[in-house]
Amino acid sequence: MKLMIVDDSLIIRNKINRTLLSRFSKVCRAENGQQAIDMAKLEHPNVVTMDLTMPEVDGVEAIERIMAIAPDTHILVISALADKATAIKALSLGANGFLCKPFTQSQLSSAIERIIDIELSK
Amino acid sequence: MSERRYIDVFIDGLIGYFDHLNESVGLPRSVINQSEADQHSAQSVGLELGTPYLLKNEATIGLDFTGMISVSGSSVGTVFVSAPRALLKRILLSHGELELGDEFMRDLVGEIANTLAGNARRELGADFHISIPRVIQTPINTKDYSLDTHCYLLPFRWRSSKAELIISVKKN
Repeated sequence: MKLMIVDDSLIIRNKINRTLLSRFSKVCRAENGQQAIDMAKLEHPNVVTMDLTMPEVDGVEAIERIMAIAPDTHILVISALADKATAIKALSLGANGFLCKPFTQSQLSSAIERIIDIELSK
Repeated sequence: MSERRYIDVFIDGLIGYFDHLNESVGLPRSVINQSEADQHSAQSVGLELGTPYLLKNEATIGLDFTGMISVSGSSVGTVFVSAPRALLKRILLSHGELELGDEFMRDLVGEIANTLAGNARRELGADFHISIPRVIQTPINTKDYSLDTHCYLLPFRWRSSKAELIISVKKN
């Protein structure tokens, strides 16, 4: 399975990569929504971790466009935006889960395992 | 929305942020003591909160790195998180990050500011719009950013390294 990590923070990208590297055969990274859309077309990731507040194209628009390109993609939103309305909007666009920053490695692992279970049960 | 309410929301966010860090490095979570009616205090091995105070109109703030978030929508203003290299180094290591250069410190202080401002939406709602973080490495004159609002500084320490949270936000 391929993972794409989308976050404008280098530290967060590194933390997610360190936590999840062993669960995926390939990991690619994008630092804004436009890069994520371009990379999704090339790499066809099974699972995406998606930040929301990013420069250029934000995470909400990136989710919409990735789901239009590849509706089978599983998306875990990882965002500091902690209000219910944002979580509901992300889920309504097709995201499979929402993890609020700050997060521990065990919280991230648990959230991604739930998404992998969805992927494997297809 | 009172100024005190904004301060309380951001203090809650700060405690939450460092609770997660404490958990990462095996320290206990913060114990919140609200015995004094108008004053938060968090006591743990990690986090010590000082008392927030009002800055003068043209105060100069800024430690080694300052992350800045502009607020718009239902509220307007600016939130700053300012920290020295020593604290940022400790936090980077707690995240498991071994790269400790300035690029990583800039990234971290911006991400902390983004996290605190984003988490504030839990209480303040989705109309509390936040910008992407901007990072500054020079002293800041609050007059340039305070938008005619009062500017409060909350000093804090984590594992003995000091830092500052500056809140200058009002209802729109």
